[in-house]
Amino acid sequence: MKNIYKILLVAVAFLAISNVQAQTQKTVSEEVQVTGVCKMCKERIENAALEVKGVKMATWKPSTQKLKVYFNTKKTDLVKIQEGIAKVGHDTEAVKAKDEDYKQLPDCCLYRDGVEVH
Amino acid sequence: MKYISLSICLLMTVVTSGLWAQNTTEINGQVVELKEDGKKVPLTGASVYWLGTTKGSATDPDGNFKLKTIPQTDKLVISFVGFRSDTITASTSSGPILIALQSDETLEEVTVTHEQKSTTFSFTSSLKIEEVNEKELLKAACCNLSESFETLPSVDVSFTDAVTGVRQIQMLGLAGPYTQITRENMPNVRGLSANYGLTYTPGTWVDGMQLIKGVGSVVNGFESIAGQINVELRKPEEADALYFNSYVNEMGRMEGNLNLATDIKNTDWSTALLLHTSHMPFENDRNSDGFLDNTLYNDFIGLNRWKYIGANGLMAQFGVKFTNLSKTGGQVGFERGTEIDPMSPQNSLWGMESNTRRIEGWAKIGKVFIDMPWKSYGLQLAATAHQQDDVFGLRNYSGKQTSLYANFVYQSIFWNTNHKFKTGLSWMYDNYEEQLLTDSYDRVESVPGAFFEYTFEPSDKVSAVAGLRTDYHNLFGFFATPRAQIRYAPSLNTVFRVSGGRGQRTANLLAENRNLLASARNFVIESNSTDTPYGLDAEVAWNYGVNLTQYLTLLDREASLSVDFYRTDFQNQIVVDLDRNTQAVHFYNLEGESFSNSLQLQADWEILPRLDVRLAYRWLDVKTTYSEQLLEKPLVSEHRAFGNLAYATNKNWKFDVTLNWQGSRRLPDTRSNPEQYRLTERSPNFYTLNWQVSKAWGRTEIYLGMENALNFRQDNPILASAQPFSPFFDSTMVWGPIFGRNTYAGLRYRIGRD
Repeated sequence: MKNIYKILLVAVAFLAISNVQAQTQKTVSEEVQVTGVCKMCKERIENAALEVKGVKMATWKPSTQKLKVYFNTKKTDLVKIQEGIAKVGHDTEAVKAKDEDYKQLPDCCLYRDGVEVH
Repeated sequence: MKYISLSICLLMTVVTSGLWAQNTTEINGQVVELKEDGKKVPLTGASVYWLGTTKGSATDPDGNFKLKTIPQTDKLVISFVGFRSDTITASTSSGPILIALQSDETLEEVTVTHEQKSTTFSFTSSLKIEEVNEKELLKAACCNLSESFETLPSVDVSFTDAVTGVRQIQMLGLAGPYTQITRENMPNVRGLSANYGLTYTPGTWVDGMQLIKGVGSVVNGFESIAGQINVELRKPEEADALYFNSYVNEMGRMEGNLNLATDIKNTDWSTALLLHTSHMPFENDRNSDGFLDNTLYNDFIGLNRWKYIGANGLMAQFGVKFTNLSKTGGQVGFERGTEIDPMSPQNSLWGMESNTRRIEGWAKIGKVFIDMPWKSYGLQLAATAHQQDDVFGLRNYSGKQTSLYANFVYQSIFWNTNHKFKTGLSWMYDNYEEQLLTDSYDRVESVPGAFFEYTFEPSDKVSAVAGLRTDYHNLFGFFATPRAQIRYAPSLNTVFRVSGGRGQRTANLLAENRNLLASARNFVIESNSTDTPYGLDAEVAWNYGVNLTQYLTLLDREASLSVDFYRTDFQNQIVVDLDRNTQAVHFYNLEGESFSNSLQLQADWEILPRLDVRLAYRWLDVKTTYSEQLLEKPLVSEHRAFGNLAYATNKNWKFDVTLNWQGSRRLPDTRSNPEQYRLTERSPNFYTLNWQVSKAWGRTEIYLGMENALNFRQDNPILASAQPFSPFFDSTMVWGPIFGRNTYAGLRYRIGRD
């Protein structure tokens, strides 16, 4: 029986800690314009956002060209997130991707060259 | 093999050797064959059990046995392949017993040794999940979940016996109870209902199903070994306002289903009421063996559920379900409630009665954080009470199960949504009270546990799930259940998955093998402990699997190919041994190997517009150590091939044809029976063909179909059907259809939600 109590204790402690953590963190959600065209872009954009420390969740929709991003305001801000996305070649509301980064994109994702959302 | 009828003289000698220790509660002895020259040759694997009970044992390689005495009787039965069973009086005061089987001149010729002989696959999930939607379920209109798998090659369905007509599912060649069946992710078909529970869910109640081969997630418990089937019932918030279904077949089976669903005005609540009734009043004996081809029955099942969906992310639901089934089977003309005189049973008809009453209640409460969508809490609660009362000829079985289940799941992320986890606590409680003949088997199982499952999903290409749960079982102690899955998709059209993990369960051996009561076989449980269920250990297995799914475009239309291979290795299994003795079934802890290998190939293709074809082949290699010999599991077909064609017109006509080829199966050893009651070593292979046509006009849809259109039947599915009280009676050697061709028709009527 001893083992089981240990396990229960650890589990309860874990739940308590994760709860406390959640309360001390300041998580907000924002929407920003990000230009892209396809499912491949979606994965690239979302992963670029998640690469930024402090970003919790990122969802980009090709149809709306909007990225919804949840992040911890103590660790990051919207500009840093947009810089991260621009670095993989996608223009955002505040940060335009450098030409050299844009050129890294595969052909199907070249939104500046007339490839339409698909 | 030649059979020589023996005249056996049973000789009992009391050996009074001081070297053999006396034990007041245990008797021991040796079973030998007495040769003509006076030599005693030990007999290995003879059945030794107390008359009228399941308490027994088998002799070891030296012919020795040990058995605890019981208060009910001192009559000991000794039975062995090739010899007629006999009964002696045995007591501890008489010391070790030597039981010798003496034979006449022909004995030297006797050999008593055994011969050594519409379905989609999920792309993004780490587990290979077969999503079975309503369209797929409608391909086979009849009737309950156990009959819904006809068009799915992953699941095999076969009759458990020729008396009850119950169909049992198999995954990976392993019996139904090794598959965890959940209702909306809560354990459902288990315990006393493990074999029959699928029949308690009418097909028209089902919204969809998810099939997973191999071990599933640790979040839902530790019991799944061969696979997991999750059933989603009609949802109060989205189901049709009214859905009516009626069904009738040429044998006289009648079914009616009525589903109702509505939102409760000006609230966040909705509710659904699901009702089912099924009747079979007509006696059919098409194969003229004197036994009903189908049971006569009156079944009622009802379910009411409520759901609350709040704007603040709070969700709650609860439901209650009643099941009342009463079945009668056996010889034509048998009346329910007939008392059979045990002294002269041959003057009566052999009959079967089965009564099931079951009530289930469940609740789920969940909270999703609106501003943090990755985070949620959920609590699942369930309670079940099940009462089973059965009569099979001269034998009675009754079982009572009371179960409680609670599972708390907390879901969130580490750092970001590439790192998700689920963790929580669970508790399972089961109270069983069973009785077979004069033996009682009561037990309480209480299993608190904690689990943690981590999902790493760095990209659409790769994901990995690692789960661990630790549980404390009041009878089997502490155990850990690790499970893991990895998914790798090198392109958008190719998915490769690997999974592995552990499963553990308690075999409810009486309930799971109740069908064997429809035979003359004595139940012999070789207990080796007094404080575990049936005196046996828990079943423990490891399962590993790999699968590959390739999506492609053939002639501009979508197609998919999938291959999977699964291996299950049992560390312990409760072996159900039908080979040792045709007049007994032995249950014992596995000693040696027991495994299952399963390979399946499946191709799906829309060959022409609206014409879908599905082809599948599956190979099974299931072997278990029976009395120190590794044998193919009986009644499991090694090969199965399957083809399904589905065509829908623009004018609401639907056509569906399914062809199944089942390879031969090993049949249990019956060589010790008299010639006329012997089975062949293997069953023949056979084809079955089912078709169905349906046409819809607005709210109404009519269907007409035929099962077993090639009219293939297993001849004489019941051994010794003319002498059901003889020691050779056995209705459980079923490998093929019992009914021939069977036409059915039905109607569906639905009114959608506003």
